Amino acid sequence: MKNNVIILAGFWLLAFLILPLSLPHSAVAGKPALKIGVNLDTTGYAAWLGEPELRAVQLYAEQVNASGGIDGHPLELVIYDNQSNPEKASTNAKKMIQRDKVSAMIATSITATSNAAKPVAQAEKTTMYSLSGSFEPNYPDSFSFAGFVHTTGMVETIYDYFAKKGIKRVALLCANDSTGQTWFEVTTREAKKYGIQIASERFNVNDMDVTPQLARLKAINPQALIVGVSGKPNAVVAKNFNQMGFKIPYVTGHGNISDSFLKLMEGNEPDNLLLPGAYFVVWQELNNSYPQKKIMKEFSDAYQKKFSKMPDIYAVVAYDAIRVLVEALKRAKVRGPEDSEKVHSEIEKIKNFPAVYGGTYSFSKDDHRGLQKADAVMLQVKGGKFRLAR
Amino acid sequence: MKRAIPYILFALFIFLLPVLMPGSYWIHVLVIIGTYVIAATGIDLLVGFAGQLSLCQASFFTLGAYSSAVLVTRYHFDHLAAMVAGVVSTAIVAYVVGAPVLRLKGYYLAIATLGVGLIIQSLLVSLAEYTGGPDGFRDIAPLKVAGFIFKSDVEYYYLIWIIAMLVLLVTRNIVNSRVGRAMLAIRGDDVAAASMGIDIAKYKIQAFIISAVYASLAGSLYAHSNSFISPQLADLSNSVEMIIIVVLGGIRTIFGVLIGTAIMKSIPELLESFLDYQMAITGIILILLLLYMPKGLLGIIRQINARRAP
Amino acid sequence: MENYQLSLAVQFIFAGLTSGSIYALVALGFNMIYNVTRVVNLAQGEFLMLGAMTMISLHAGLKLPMPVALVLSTIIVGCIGVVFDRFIIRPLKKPTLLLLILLTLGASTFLKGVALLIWGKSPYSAPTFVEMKSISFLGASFSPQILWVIGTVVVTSCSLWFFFEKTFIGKAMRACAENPRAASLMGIDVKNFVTISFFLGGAIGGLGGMMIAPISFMVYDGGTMMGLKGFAAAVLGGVGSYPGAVIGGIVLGLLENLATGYISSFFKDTIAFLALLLILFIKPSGLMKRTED
Repeated sequence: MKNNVIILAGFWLLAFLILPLSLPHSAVAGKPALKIGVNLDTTGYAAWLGEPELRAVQLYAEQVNASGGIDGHPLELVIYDNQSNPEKASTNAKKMIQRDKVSAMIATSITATSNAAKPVAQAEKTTMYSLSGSFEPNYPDSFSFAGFVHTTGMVETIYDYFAKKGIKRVALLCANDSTGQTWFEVTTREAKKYGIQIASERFNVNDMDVTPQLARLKAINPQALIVGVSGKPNAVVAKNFNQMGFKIPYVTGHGNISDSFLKLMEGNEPDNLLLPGAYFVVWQELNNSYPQKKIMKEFSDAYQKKFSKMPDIYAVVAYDAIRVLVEALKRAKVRGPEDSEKVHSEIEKIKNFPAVYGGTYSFSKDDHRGLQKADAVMLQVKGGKFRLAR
Repeated sequence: MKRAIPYILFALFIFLLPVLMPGSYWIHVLVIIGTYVIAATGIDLLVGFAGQLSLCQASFFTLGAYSSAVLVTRYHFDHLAAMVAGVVSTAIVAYVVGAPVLRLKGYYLAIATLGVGLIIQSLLVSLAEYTGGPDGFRDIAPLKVAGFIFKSDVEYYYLIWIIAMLVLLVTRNIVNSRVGRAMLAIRGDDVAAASMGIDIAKYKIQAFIISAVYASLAGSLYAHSNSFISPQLADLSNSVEMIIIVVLGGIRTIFGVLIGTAIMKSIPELLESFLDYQMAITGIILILLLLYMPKGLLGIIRQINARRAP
Repeated sequence: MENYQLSLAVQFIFAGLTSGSIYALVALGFNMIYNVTRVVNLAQGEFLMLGAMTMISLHAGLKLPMPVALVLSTIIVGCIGVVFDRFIIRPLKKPTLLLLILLTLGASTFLKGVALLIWGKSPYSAPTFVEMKSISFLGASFSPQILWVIGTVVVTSCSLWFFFEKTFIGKAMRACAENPRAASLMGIDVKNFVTISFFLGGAIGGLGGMMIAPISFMVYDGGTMMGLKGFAAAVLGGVGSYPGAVIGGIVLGLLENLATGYISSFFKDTIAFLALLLILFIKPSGLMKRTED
């Protein structure tokens, strides 16, 4: 029975090893820091989203602190990686709110992890800003906000474009993951409104061959293919697509607007590769009169200078998210975690706030995305670059 | 009476922990540790005592979680009834699957249980109409039993740890009973066990069902306390983690599960600041622990004790 | 319409052969190690990933010509296999199935972690070995790379079979597994043979990764799923049997893709694994288990 005493001792020991780690970080000199939690998918399945997002958030924090902080309070980021794992996302949210006392948080990169963090944000009455395009932030008493034009707006942009080109029969190939699920639901639902005929297939994100699905889709003699997936699987689909001699437009989701996507498609680029996206991506093509062109350029230059990389759409969405949060912290005169409840009602009052993404943010009680469908635009990949689609 | 002292001390410790660190985030971690203790105890019984390697424990856990979530949210079941329904249906699945699968041995058993786990997981993904698909199932109501609603982490903490301690004690009793000895005999040499008149198939499937029931129960508790679940819970890595928990704590020690879970669930917390290095470091820690402590922490402690007092 | 049905079937079968061949290569490497050492290496999929990544680095990064990159990376991954054995498997004093499975899974986490540090998180792709867009056959079209994959499987499995069944050294190596003590009494250097088997196991895995890199893509954690499917293929064919590995791989690949084509892509894994379970229930030791074991 001594053993059990030893177990006890072991448990105590562990508890005491762990406990000191749970103590709050040391205070910074001067005015106390305002903390924003950053709970992103920086490793695991959605790492390629989390990484640029984290970079952009860090860039903004640096800029804010270099220009005197938030009314003299330095901005401190509390950064945790949720490993693209919903369980971790929820734990991280609890940890940053309860232990680190953040005033608001950026959480998270994808729908599944955002859904996991959401109940924590609600229970703790702390604002969370999701960077997922298909997470739903609009529900009663919502404490969550989200970046991007909603997937519905993106799909409508695609269908408007199809209508212009007279495309009526569409093949749909969606992944068996969260993104694919959303694309499948939204595209089929919207197709009814636009009178578009759809044939659909699904595939696994780690499939190395989707020719069976494409062969079946060929049956309806489609005029365009929509591929509902983000990242690496697109390259497999595109390879098979070319192999099978398809000549129709290849349309994929806004989640793919990144340099790594272009690199991935190099050599396999379908002739007509389209995606719905944001004005930021093509800011160099915009007229000088476009009101946000200046901030777009500033952000793009600063990001490239710091990371020697082009900012992609995820970086922009994250950058805008923290801009909105900081703006709300300023307006609400938040001085510490005790004021965190005020943040969300303050964001709802923000109107016509210029978006580096393109367009402006106008939030309200019922609209926690702030962007409109008109802020989405059809893009085309030509010569390894994103261009406005003609 | 003397035998009971350590248990009482331990219970007291668990009881006092939330008072010692009020409002701490670690209570939340301890809630998760508690749920995994319940599920992993089943693995100690099945893998440790009956010697049947199972790579689908996390899938049974997820099955329990989804049963509670779907029945409560979609069909407005009483929460306790939903939990029981989850446990019963998981037991039925375990029986139907276990009867043929447990005839297999070694790698064949490993890959078959892995297959079972994958099938359950991909069904949860594909039956999106009921399960919410890859997006997961959200907004699960907090547990309500006889009018009492469990809301805070501390409330869940007490609930889950009381259940965890009961499960540990029940398992200890099973192991010390005739059933437990029969299971050990099967692990050692099932041909010999059969020739001694032990009904091997019966005991194997009993162990399999009991462990599935623990997992399902843990899953239901997890669903309510976390309010969000996703098919990712059924990942093979989670099933493997439960086995690693058992081995690290000390296989066939039952209470070693406590230590194993505490270690496995703390490693990621402690390594957080290493960011990209996390994965490589976790790998090294696992390799070293398995190489140099294959008996597990509690196993080693018991060995030392046994040597000291022959 | 009949033509369409035919070309559809051909398309499904070729897709099945492609993924099946990859599973077969993993299974061959797996059996290779198992037959000499009785070690169940679940990190075999990581060798696949390392092979692909090393080749891409050598070819695209160091601008080495493709054949040189191929040979070099095969050797490199083989050496990783040797190191893997020396530092991870050998220190294990009392190997049991349970410990081996957990240990090799731990090793697979470690290898992924290291790959993450070296190559980061972005996916990499390689050009096809011959410059050709696609091959058409009976109305179906597929990548020319598939011929390389199938060729590799045929050559590897035949040479393995020949080596272990027909040559003296091969038979000696097999003896190591069946009775290491007796083997060493007969003057066979068991330790060297174990080293050789891990070298070959790593090399075969790496080769599989290189073959597949131009078809699919590789990320630091891209080998795991293929490794598991390969393990399933090995078990399906009968652990330890080389023809079994090939048959198991192809059967699994075909099952998956025919299920996708004729039933639903949603139930691909479900159907493939259901079939695997059924086969195991009917033949509990795999399709081609050698009778002598």
